[in-house]
Amino acid sequence: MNMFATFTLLTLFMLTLPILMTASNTYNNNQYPMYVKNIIACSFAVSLVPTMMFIHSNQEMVISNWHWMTVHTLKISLSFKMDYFSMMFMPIALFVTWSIVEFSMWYMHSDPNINKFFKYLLLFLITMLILVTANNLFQLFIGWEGVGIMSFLLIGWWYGRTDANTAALQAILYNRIGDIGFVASMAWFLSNLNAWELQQIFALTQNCPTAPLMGLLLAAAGKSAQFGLHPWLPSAMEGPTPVSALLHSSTMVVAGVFLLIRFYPLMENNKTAQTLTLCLGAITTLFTALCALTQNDIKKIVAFSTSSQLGLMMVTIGINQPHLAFLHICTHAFFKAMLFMCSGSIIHSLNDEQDIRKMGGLFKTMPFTTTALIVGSLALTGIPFLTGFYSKDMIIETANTSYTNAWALFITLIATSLTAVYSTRIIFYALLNQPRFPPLILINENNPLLINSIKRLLVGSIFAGFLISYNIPPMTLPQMTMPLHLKLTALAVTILGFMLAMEINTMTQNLKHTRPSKTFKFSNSLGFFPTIMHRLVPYLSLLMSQKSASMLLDLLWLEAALPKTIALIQVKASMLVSDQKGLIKLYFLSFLVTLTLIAILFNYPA
Amino acid sequence: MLKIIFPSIMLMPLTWLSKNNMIWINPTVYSLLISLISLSTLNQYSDNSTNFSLLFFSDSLSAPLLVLTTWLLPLMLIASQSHLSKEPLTRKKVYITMLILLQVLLIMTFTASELIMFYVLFEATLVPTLIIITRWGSQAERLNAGSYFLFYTLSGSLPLLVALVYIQNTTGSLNFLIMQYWNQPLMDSWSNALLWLACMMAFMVKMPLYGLHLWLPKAHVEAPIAGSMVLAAVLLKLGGYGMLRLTTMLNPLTEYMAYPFLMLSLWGMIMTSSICLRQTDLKALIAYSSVSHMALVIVAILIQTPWSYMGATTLMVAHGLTSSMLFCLANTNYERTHSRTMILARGLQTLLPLMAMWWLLASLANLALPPTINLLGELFVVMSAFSWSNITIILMGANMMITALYSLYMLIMTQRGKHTHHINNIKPTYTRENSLMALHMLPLLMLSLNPKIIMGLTY
Amino acid sequence: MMSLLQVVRDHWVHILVPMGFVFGWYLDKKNDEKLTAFRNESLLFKRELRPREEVTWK
Repeated sequence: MNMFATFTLLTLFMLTLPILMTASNTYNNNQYPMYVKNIIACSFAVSLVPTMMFIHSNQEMVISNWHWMTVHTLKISLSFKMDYFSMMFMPIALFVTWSIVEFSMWYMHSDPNINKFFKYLLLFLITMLILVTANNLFQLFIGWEGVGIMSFLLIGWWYGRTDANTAALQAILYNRIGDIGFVASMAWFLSNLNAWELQQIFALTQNCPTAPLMGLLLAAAGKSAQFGLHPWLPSAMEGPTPVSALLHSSTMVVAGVFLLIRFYPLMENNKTAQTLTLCLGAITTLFTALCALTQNDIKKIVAFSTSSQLGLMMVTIGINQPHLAFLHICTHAFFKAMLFMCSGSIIHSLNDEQDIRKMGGLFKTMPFTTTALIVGSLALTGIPFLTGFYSKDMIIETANTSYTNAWALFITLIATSLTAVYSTRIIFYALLNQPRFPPLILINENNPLLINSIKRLLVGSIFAGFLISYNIPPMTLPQMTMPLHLKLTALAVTILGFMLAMEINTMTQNLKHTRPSKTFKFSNSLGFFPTIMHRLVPYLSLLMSQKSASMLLDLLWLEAALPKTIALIQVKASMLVSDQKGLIKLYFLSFLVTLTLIAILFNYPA
Repeated sequence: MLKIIFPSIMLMPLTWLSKNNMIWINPTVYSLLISLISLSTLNQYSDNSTNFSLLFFSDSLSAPLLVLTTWLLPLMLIASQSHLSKEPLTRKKVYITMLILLQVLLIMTFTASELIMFYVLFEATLVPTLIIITRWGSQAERLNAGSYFLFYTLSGSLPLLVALVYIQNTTGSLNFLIMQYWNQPLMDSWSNALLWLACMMAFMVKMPLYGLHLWLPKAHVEAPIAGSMVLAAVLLKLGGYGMLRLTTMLNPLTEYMAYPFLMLSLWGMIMTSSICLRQTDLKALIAYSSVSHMALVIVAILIQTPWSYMGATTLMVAHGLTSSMLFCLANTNYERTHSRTMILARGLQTLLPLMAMWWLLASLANLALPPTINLLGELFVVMSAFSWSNITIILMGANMMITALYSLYMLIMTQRGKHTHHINNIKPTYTRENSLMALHMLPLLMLSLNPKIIMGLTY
Repeated sequence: MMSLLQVVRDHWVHILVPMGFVFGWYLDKKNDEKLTAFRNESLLFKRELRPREEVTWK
């Protein structure tokens, strides 16, 4: 018995300290953000210990701590799984969060509720780590719902804004659709296997039927914003930028993919589920890449690129390479969080201007942010020997050499080249050319909080991929030999994308004013998806609830048919049978007649 | 059991004889102490029920509901203080007496061991409730609501009396404890089907079943705060309790008699939830959400598996606390804006941040966030419904989604957004209100640590 | 002395509920004893009291 489990639990418990400190005086002064940041940094340091031990000895472990209850034959307890996935992901999540928390000390410094904001971020981090380390489905569900609710609270941080509230509600709505799938597969596992513990589930299912996997796929599609359930992710950009950086790029949105990775022993034998995942992922990655092409909001572009990368991870799971997908999650966290932080830096410096058409020329005024943004974009596109290369290139190679659906592979390749296009577009519009922002803005990026946090992730974006892929034990056998043209495909499509983007960008210099083309409209209005799904469906369902549920059934059938009809019948019947008409004079007259008659009759002499 | 009932009865003279400035604090404190005594019933040391006397008993099904009842009286007293502050002293005392009387009757109902006594007390709880609704409600519609409440419940439960007479004649006993060993399987015949209906209808109206639920939104909306609280928290659970007790003796007829009611509940759950999405009236929204949650309980009871019984019991207790808390929150808004319309009270988070936290917690509990007991109950119901028929997951899932939507819609409408000008000079939150919410929330959170004490008979 | 009387007059109501509890508890105990006696008539269920046990019926 070594200290493997102890250090992992210490990592988790340390994070709850600032939450407990809410009751103390620390929460009420301005040191709280610093305190949270330090705790997260310490927690990161502690979490490195079990990770090193894992890398060194390849030891996996499941611990079961607190027995919650035993329902008949099902034991539910607090149990943590410390395996490849959780051990690799914990330090990465903590590292990224550390940087983002430091960044938000700069970004949110003028917010009156900054302490609460930090507490929310921390709560989110805790729920995320619960999700990652959970070993049974119930505990996983706690983390799963927890990140959803924290995302609701954080997106709706500026609660005075209608857009923020709508976006928060939208996120919950789409997540809840996913939860249906999660609960459905929980129900399936319970009624068929009588098990919620992961190792029991894996042991009991050799050839998993498609039904529970569909549930998990729905859950993953909701959380990871796959096609059909994707619109919440760009809307979530209404939240503060640190929130976008933490939740909507590196941690929460990958939870869906992570769920599928967790369940890969079930997935790897089921071809139907794999094909569906593959196609869903391929559609998502292409569609969102297309949407990203014409957006003008810098955060939206980055959000769509996140969505596209999530699609790529789904594709990877679809070709039965869960470990590669996980590697991509890890590497993606670094550069995507950094891209968000760079855009946050730009937005904050330009007085909350998010439109890339109003930026330009920032490489002179913000050299550091520019460097980071360019490195991040290049890492995103998978330029060799940056972080993204190690996972993305592997994914494309594996897809190329597998016997997979050629259609899905083809559109994934298109999406890959489009990645280069929209990345170039950000660089071109925001950083290059002449400044288009108001000249009176004072731009200053020399704040250590900003510089340090971005710098840390910048180093990560350059080296992390190498370090991770160098150190982790190989889980899947990589393809050893392949023709040169397949080996170079990933690079070739990316370069193609760059060239295409440069061509198009040069065209903008001598642009003619024409009416926007249909393709442009399709891309710019997000494939008309929100217009259709967010107008028609709510309208119809609300109309249904008003007209049919409330007015027709409740008020008409149930109320008019039962109580009102009975009352009406009673009234009519009583009116019908009673002779009482309120004619008092007549009644008294009849009394008089009777009385007179009686008087006459009885007085009649016998 | 008398050691709970007698002190509860003594609360009445306590109220009338207390000094004028003590009439709130005295019953509150003593009823809290009584609820502490009742906690001892949760300790179920034997597998069977713990018998206290010939008339009363408690087992793991009635004990949580009993504790819920006794816990709710102090909360009702705390909640009604400001509502009644303008009334003359005698009326305040009458009001408090009504609440205490209701509690005494409810305790006896939940612990009665004779079915006929259960029936009598079940009907007797209508009287104080009716008086509370029709005397202290705030609008003229309260009379209508009162008559709906009375007539729905009465017409539902009169057939039960006939059925009880019949059962007494055939089996010779109406004792719950004996009946478990005494009952014969009901053969499949028209008269037995009628017997089933007579036994179940009384409780289905009380629950309420969708289609017979019209009294509930009216009564909830028109009742004063304590009335709404006790209606949502305890009176609806009488229906669930009665169903759980009686289904054991109606086998095997339940298996096919349940179908129409299962369908109706599953359908009604979606319908009532979607009505919630269009509500502008805060109290009506909470009332309809109760109907939707109770539909889950009906489904669970009619499926008749151990898991579903556990789910039903857990959900009843969880919903009791949550909906009562939501009504209290609605009342705090009502006392400040004097309107139940949600849109008139928006943006309250800016002005009352602590109350916003209570709203958040209550909404999250209402949408069944893990690991609250609301989720546990709901999850168990969903699981057992799934193993009963796989396609129910579609309806259950849709209901989960709509529940989340209307809970958060309620939260966003009342707490988020820009605040309106007419609420600029509202009163701050009182310690009384905050402690009221805390007393609702704490049991919910504590119970999620050890839910097995409220899981009922089949745990 | 007067103040003691005053205190008693002001606070005598507090005796009501504890009195109710004691009374109810006493009746419960009586009932348990009665049922215990009843049970001890039966040959099947008759048993000796265990240590620190007051009634066999509970």
